[in-house]
Amino acid sequence: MSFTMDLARRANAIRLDAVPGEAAYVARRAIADTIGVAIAGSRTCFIASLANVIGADGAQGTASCIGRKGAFSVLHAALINGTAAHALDFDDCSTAMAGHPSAPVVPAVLALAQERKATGRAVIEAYLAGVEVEVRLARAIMPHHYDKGWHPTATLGVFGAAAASARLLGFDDERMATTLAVAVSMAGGLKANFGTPVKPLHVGQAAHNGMLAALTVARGMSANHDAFDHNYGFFNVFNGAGTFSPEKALEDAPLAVLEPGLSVKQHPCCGSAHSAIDAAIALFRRHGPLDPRSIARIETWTHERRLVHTNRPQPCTGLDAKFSVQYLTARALLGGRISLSDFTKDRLKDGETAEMLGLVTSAAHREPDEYLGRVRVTLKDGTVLEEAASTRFGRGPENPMSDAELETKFVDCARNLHGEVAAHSLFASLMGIDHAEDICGLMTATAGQP
Amino acid sequence: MPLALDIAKRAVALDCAAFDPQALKWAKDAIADMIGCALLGAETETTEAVLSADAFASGPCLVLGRRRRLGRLDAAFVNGTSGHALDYDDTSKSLSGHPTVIIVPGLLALAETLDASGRKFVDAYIVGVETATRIARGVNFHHYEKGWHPTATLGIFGAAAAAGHMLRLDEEKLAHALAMCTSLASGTKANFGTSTKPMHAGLAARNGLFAALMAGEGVEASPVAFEHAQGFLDVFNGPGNHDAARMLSGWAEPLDLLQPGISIKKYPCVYSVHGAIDAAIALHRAGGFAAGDVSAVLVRMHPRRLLPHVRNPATSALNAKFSLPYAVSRGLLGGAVTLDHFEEGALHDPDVTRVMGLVEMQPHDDDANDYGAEVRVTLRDGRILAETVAAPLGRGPEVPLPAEMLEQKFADCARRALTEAGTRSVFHMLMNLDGLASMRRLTAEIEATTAA
Repeated sequence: MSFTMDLARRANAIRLDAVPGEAAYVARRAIADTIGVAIAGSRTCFIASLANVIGADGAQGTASCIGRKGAFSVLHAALINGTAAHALDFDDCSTAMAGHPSAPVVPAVLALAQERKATGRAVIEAYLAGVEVEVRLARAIMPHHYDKGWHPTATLGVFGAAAASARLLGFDDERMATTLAVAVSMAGGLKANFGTPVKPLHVGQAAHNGMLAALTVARGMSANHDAFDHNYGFFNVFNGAGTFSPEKALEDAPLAVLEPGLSVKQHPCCGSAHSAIDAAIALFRRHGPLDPRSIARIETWTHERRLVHTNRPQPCTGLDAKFSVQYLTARALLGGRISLSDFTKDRLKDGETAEMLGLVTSAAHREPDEYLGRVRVTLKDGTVLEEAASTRFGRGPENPMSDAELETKFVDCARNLHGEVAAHSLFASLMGIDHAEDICGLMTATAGQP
Repeated sequence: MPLALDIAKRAVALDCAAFDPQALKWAKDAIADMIGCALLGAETETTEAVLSADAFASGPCLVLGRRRRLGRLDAAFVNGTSGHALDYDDTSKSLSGHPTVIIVPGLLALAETLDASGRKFVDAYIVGVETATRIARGVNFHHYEKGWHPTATLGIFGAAAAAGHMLRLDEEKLAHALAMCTSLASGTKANFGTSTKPMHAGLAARNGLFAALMAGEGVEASPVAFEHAQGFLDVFNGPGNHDAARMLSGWAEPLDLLQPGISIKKYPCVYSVHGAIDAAIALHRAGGFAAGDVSAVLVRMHPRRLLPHVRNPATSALNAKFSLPYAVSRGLLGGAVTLDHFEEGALHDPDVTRVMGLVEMQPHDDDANDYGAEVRVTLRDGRILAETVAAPLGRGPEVPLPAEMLEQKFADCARRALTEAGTRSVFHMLMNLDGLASMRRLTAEIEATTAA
């Protein structure tokens, strides 16, 4: 059996009634979280540019755009929603994938499901298959693939979107395999374009292309089932000889969403600062809001590998502030949380924030736990308050976000566009997606207020 | 200066008013040839697969050979795929691939929406070819040998530059478009031999246009997306396997279209045998023999042109496309080798089959003559007729394609989709493209004369 066929069979073998209930729960949360960050992301200016490029023609169709009125073709909805889902880099992560598993998959699944009036259960099944393919392929090619310069969220995401779309179209193993082989020819995305809007665009392209692969196979497109292990195929051409192990993709293992699971990003900023933020939030919870006038100094310690790009004592812009451990610590001490509103121009100019920020100095540690952060506040009366936290880029299976915390994040993302009440209600509907007879109403609701 | 900007400056600086008339001529020929190929490809299973009725919204841009209009990006995707569906479109040595099929589809869709003139279209096409082939010089031929499909992975830059020219992007914005293309480039040779290969062309055509449109909206990419350690050069080719300086030299001195130029395929079969077909057709035209007079045929070519799969007689529609004896027999007896000849029903003509069985092949040892051919026919009365061609006609500027041969090929392709009158009128428009006031007139004529 070809590698492609083996992978295809595994993607097709996932059945909702045969997987642990925990998997559907993780999926529901991931779908809700992806929609939430896409709603917030849909407000960025390059999504407006993208909508202009698409919207100039060919914008009529059957699929909703998150945060945008009108109906789009399924392909263009996947492109725009996929880009929006990654626009703020606030979407979930997988350490095994070295990337963001849900952002390329969810938009493709939802657009097709809306058009075909698929059930919520079909959506969850397709989602699980998509993430499974991404993470399995990642096991075969990491870490070299990432280190070399590919952006796995895109170069693996296209296979996730392809597999999930193929599931939603009800493909047999043969056509699932052909879809994955077509997607080999569509994979792309370089890390050189990180730090620009092209990074989230990679994700929209992956969603668009993965779906396109499945749609063309539905109409008879052919591809080589050896496209992964061919001399001129995915492994050799993208990774290079000696840097991959296909058999690792095919080992028996629990579902990827359960082991190693997904990490949900709690704070809308660089993951390297999350441990310091969590330590500061712990201080807030224990001592209440602190008055900068009573503080002599604030010190933070994060690992040197994490500090190198987050050492920005006086950030100038909202984007800059997302990478400033000093600013993020100051805001967490003042507010007990970090939300999207912490990155507005007004907040950056706020007097109390500036006063608190002026007190923060940050240093590097080299402790074995790379994800450990410490925050120490010394009051003018000599009292020392100190907390530590160990947080990876998001909240994973070892310290999962509660549903209530996830809802807080969702509402924070959706509030501006949908309003508080509708945001809560949309979250509830998304968490109950497994009961949806079809998801059309849900998708229409994501468009938000006119 | 970042490489993308350095390249973009050269593309923007090209002086269209000074383009050599010969370059305009080649551009028009190539554009006409590509449109013919797309009209031919419109009814293939490949095009049927991509023109998935559910996936695309309608819009203002024509799908060639179909009475259907889509949005810019989708039209570029479908026309790029159909243009390459039969692998009958032109090739470029510099690119190691097919330049025109990537550039024309996006440009055509854009020209329709902007109501651009034919001259603007031809100029933008030339800018696209020049940009793609200059970039290609910096990464080929390692790029091709490693397993990438340069038609797609390098052609995309031509599509972006051509669309950028038509959109009047300044050098900064064009640099962003080219840098964006490094992240949109895709296509590996593993899918050769399947209908995904022509889809590479459609994707690259769509993505190149997409990058230009996004850059036009002000979306930026990394200025150093080519030379970054995790950028195009090192990631696609690998460190040490590229030479950026070669991307920057020689622009328009002369244009790549003139040196080394592009090759236009005249016959719908493997390129290796085209020189022999040219010689056979010349013998047919000289006349003086009938099918029954032939008693022996000898073909002499370079050994690389006479690989085993080419030496076989035609026994099926598939292997007929690789059969030298079949093609030479068709050329000798009928003076033409056309699409019809490769359909199952055409393979059993008794005269053609008899002469096919007479063809002997002899490799020569002149390495300088790698695509030329000699055909020597011995008749029953003892006379010997011989013809030699130095290279297949249409192989490049040194052996240009006679106008009537281009028209013959165009008609052979286009009549599958257009009426006879439409085939003639569209070809006429294409030959005078630089004088056409609006490209919308071309697509309107194609649409109006589309038969189905």
